Amino acid sequence: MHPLMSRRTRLSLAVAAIPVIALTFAVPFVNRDEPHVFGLPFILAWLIVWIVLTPPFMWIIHRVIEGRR
Amino acid sequence: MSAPVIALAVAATIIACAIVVGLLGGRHKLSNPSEFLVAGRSLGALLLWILLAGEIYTAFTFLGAAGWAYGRGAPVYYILCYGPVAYVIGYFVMPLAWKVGNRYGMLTIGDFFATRYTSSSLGAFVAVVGFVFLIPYIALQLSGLQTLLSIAGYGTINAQLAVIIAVLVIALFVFSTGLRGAAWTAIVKDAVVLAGVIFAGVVLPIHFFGSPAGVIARVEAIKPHWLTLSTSDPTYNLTWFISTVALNGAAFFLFPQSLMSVYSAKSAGSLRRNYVWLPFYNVMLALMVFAGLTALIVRPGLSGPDVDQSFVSVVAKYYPPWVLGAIAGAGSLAALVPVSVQLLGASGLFMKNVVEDALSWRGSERQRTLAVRVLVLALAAGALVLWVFLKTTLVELLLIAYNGMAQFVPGFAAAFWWRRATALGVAAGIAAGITICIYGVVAKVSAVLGVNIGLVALAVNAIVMYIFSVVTTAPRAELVDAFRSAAFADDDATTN
Repeated sequence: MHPLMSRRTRLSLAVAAIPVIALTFAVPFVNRDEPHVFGLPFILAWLIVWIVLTPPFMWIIHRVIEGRR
Repeated sequence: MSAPVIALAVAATIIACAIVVGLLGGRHKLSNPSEFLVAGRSLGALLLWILLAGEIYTAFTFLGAAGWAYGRGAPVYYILCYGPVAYVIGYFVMPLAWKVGNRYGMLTIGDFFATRYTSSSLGAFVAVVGFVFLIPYIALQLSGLQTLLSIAGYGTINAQLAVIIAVLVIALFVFSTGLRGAAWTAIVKDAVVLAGVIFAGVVLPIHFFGSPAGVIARVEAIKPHWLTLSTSDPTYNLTWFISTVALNGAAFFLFPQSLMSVYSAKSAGSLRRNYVWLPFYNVMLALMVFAGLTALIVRPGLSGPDVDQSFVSVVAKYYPPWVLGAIAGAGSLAALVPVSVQLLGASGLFMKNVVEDALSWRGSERQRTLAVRVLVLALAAGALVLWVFLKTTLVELLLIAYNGMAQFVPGFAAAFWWRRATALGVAAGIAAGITICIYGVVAKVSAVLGVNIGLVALAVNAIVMYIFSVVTTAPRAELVDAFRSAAFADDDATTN
């Protein structure tokens, strides 16, 4: 069986898609100045938060879903 | 001592320190091309991290991110975003590439294509394309270097000459130590660059506005909507943003020197662990946005390529020469270390896939070493010429390089996930994509209906690859199966 078709890998890809979508396709929906977060325009705060959240998402894939060291 | 002497002396000291560390750390017998180009596939966690992370902190980061925040506003956000997208893709794809690289002894991206599609001509074609599109990327670093050195000399020195000298020094250095020495200099580079980024993005805004966020309020007061993406701008609008982040995220790993860094890893697992955490490193880039916005308020009026000087010229005006020298030294390393790895990657690529494989040249080890050195000079000269004639801003040079490298994406993905892809199909796809990219450069078109032209080229590339693949003879199934089973093998099966 194709390794990418395994259920575990599909779940990994679905979780990985969340930060990627947040940094790309979600941008038109958050592209505004208000409300300001920590003094930053909303869009900039959104992007920074999602960049910081990417490693936790990938860590969950790595450790929890794929069970790697 | 006069101000230019102090600033340049501090900058030169920082560069010299990095070279000394590289020479000490890089001491290793360079008995074969693998040892030289990919450090014998032996880099452990720290050096690999610095090598992979270092691709983000280049002169472009240092100057271009601030420059775009200064000159364009919100479109600069793409620079923050494509790295994390690339690392997510890399987490899944690069272990596969590492495993086939390890199994077949690949050193370059040309080797990858030549092996999967059993065609050394395709390998040579990919090598030439990679080589050509790496030149704007190197020119980008040289532009940054010149900006830094001329400001550090307070306009009193011939910066063009200084750039040539600096590039020659670093080229000689890297060819005496190979990739391992470059990875060691990258440790010094990243330490001073991070210090510089924190200074530029935290200390500068606090000095002038009381807090990093203070500068945001000032910018919004003067230029409303500067910090949100435009829906009406014909080029740098929302569609452009999404397509550029996606394109750069996908193309990120297909720069010749990037795949070389991947092959230098000790194991597929060490790559995965790096990609999990690398986005944290990217967050620091946001600080350069604050630096650029600070310059926009403090020193308005720069335009064109001059926007790249934005925050450094603020440092020159308001801080003592040694601070300027430290910033210039950090920035110079941010240019020189990536240039050294890029020169290494491009020369190795051309030598291995064009001269040795396609032209069947078999020289002694000594002759091959000499040939690579000549090649480096040719490449550096090519980059210098382009840099003199093509005065665009740093970001635009970067986008040209990314658009070109992105044309490897369809053939690279098909190597793993589409068995029917053929050498001719991949070559035709790349040729079609590159043609569109070159048209974009010549006609100064960077987006079609808002979509980054590189992504348009990529789509055409994929369609052409499909058509030419299905009409040509299918590749031999057992070869494709062997390649794929190497790629998708368990980690344990491939450790050497």
